[in-house]
Amino acid sequence: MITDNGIKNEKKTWGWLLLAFFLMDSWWLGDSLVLWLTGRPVPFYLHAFLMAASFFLGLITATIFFKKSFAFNGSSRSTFLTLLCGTVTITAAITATPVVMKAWVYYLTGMIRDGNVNGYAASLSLLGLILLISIVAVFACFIAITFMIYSVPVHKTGKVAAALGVVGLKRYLTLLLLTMAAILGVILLLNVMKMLEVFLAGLLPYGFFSRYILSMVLAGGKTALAFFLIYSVRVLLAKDGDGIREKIEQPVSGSFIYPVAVAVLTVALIISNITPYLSGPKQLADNIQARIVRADNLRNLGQSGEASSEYIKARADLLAFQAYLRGISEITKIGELKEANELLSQAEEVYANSPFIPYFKGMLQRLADPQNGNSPDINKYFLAAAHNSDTIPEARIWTINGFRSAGEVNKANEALNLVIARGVFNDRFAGLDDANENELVVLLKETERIKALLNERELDVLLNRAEYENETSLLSEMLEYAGRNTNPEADYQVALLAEHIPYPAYMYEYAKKYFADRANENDGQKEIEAALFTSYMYVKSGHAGEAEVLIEAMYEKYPESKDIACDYAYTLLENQKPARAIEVIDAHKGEKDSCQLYLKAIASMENHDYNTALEAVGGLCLIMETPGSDPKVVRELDDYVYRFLLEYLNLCARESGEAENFLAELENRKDPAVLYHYVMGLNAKKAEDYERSNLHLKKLLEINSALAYPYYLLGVNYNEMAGYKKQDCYPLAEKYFLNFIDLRPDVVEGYFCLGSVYKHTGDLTRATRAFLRVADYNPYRDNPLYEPFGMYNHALDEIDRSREEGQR
Amino acid sequence: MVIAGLLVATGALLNMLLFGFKVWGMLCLAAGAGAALMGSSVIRNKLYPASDGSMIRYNLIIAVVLAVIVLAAPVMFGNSSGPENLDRAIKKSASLVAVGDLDRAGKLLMDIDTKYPGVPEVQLNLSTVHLMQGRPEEAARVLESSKESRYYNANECFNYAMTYYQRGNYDDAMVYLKKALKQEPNIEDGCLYASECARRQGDYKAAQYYARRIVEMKPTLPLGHVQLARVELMVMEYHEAAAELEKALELKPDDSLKQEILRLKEEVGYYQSKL
Repeated sequence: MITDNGIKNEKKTWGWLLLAFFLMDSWWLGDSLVLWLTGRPVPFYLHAFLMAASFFLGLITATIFFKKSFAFNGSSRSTFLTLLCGTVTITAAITATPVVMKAWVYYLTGMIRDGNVNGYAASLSLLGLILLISIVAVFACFIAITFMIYSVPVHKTGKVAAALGVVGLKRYLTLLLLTMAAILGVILLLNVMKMLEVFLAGLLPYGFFSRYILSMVLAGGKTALAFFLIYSVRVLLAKDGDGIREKIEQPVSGSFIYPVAVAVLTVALIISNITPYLSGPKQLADNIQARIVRADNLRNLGQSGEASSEYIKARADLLAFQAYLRGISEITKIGELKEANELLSQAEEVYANSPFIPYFKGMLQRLADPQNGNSPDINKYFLAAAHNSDTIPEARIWTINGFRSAGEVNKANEALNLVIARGVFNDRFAGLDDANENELVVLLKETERIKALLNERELDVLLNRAEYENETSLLSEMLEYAGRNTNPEADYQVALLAEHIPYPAYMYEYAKKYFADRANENDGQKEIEAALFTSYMYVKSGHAGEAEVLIEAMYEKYPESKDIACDYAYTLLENQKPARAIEVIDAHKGEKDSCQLYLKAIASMENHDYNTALEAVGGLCLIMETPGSDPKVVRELDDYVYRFLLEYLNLCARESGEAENFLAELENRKDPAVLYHYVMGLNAKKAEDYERSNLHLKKLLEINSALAYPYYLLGVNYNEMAGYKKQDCYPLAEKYFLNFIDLRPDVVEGYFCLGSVYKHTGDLTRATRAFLRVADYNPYRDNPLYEPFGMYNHALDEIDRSREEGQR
Repeated sequence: MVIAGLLVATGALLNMLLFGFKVWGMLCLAAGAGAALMGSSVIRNKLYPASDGSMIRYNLIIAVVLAVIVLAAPVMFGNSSGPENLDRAIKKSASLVAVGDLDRAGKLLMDIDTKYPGVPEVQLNLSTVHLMQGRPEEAARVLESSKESRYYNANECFNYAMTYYQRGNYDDAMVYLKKALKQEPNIEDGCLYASECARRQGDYKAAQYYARRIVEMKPTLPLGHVQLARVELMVMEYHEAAAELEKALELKPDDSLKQEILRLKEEVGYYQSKL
């Protein structure tokens, strides 16, 4: 049992402990002095020396406290060594925390990835880990305090630590309660400190003095906590203290294993903790890479705008960093900046607001012209970088001498106070000034690797912009990107963008490139997909002959592919080879799908084999005529039948005699019913017999109300009846067009016709809306290959006219 | 107490050596030295010969007096310049803006702007006050006063955009909104105004993109749904517009917005009634 005999008066000597804690953390005073004297960042070695010196001073002062407070018999040297041993024990426990946490995070990430742990279990395990770490840390403090209270000689510290462990196990409940109290005390202290910081920062002069007083307050808090821990140890050892004392007084020699082992462990942990932060430039590269990964995650979550912004910022920062590395090399070799300036300009083009651009500009100018390193011209760069103090806080350090040389002492003092308040005394990048070529090359390689990662994502940025920007203005950038990168995806996207504008030459060129890239990848499925895309682009850009050649070769290579066979038949039809198209379709065994049936119908009609054509269309209409069919499927089939109707109208215009033969065959069969009513409806409309046409079209809706085109054709009929026959049919036309749009919002003709109805009824607002839809949301705009009637341009004219009339 | 007093005195002395003589520094130095003297056993025993318990009381009194002097001296005798006062003034102006006292906030910020010209936060807040008071010309003047010397951050770009928006110049407003959103894609107001500018420019693709972003970012904001519905209605996506208006109504919008929703619903209803 420790009695008052063993303790002198630790309460009266609290000031020494306060001073010890203050000194241990007073390295910043030395750094501030160096900063004040030089106006430059504190060199790393000097900073490390000042930290070690302040810690050493603190330990000496703490030794005085313990000598004055407790019944030490040994010399000051032995007291200091015992204190050092206790301090090392505490340091080992504290420095182990980040290592343990990192290991836990890695382990947990793996578990979550494999689905072996859920969120609650992860949170619970984190709480458990924090509790365990806290217990270990508090127990380490108990060990250190026991060493000091009992003035344990260094060679007996291992024995005492073990004995305390035994006491801890024996009195685990007391230990746990004391630990919890200590944890609560630490939490309380941290919160009080936070509040005090806010309070004091509002009253005390910002910077040096504020930080000084806050350090004092923090030292006071630590002193209070230390006293609580001393009291806790007394409580814990109330009954076992004598046993500990006996162990110390035993004549056995003891050993140095414990202090040496703990010291080695502490050194290893400190090294592992600070190593990642030693190289500022490497840290910046790692940080940019981490941002890319974060942006990838955002992109995968669908937040493409945010991801895109992060990629842009990361690229600008990286370019600025590369400029700095290149600049150092150029200044050493040729004495001037060339490529570095180009890189900085590139960074500005990418994202002018990157704080790294002015910062590295300033650093390079300073390096290139050391005589004028503090000139206002250079200072303005550092000020611009310091504006974003969170990213490059060290930029402000360089402004101190800039202001001083300009005679602005107050501003220099303000800058100095700001860096002291923010605890920024070093420059992460200043060390690179003296870096040798090899170091620069290693860093440049690292930046090139990250740049390659960003290049892969540049396309994502462009695609994100395509979501809201004008496609025409974006095309040049896409072309530039595709020119710089051999990326099939880029060629694919350029071709797609060119199709939307439209720009047939680029559609053709980039689809061709895309196919060439994919063909070299030796992946059958990818090659087939690329061939289908390319053949489509060839046809739509007016190169149907080449499309046939391409897809014929693919047909020979992949004769079993239904998609290739279908596309081959399509290209053959585009090149007016219906007989061969039928051969290709028929060569494919098995049940024909809707695309094959449609192509066969078209090819047979071109071949004047109307019986086969009607049979093929019959295959398409079968589902449409079956009650309860899936409306989606019905709509798709309806689209094929409507396209067949357009081909029939072409036939009427081209070869009226053949069209009559077809009609005779259809009238004879009256089957398929859907086609029959469509054709009859169209013919009646041509003859301006709208009533009969409407009857046929309404019959179609009776067969299946999910059909969309009957609504469209009814709308057209009523529109013409209102226009040509001056009947009051616009409301009906509006109704049917709206029904059509409801079923087929993707077909631009519906909006165009509806706009016309509103125009004629004088409803300019709704007319403009409908025409806007044609102009803005029609993906193929004024592409004559898609829109032979030029609805886009008509719509634009109508919008202008409506606006003019509206203004009148 | 001696050590604590000496520490305070040393701090005040160091501050004066590094940053020049100050009255408050002298007071703190004197207070620290005084506390050290009063705390020394020789003087304490003469003044207050007593037990351990009253010694704690004696030390506590000295500590409190020391703390009061250290905290009060800089406030009472410190000069009005320095970054600390600037920070405080900026925070105060932000609080005034938050409670809607725009006149006082504007006056305070103009005073600071005169005293510390070219401070970005001051100019940003002052331009915000001018914009909230519906004075875009004044806001533009404040922002332009340091245009040449530095880059704009996202908030400044946004305010700049607002100076154009309030004057009906949607093209230039859109240029600055795009700049702001390039830096900070998650500025809700930025997306909202970008959508509205694009709508007024007739660029419905962009208007819809930005409106969708607001809804994604803040699905609980009724105005976001209304904005999306406005754009959707403009391009005849009235089913989608109707759904957005329903969502906006569920979020209990204020009365004026409710009126707007009902008006838009009526328009949507026109199309639906024809089906």
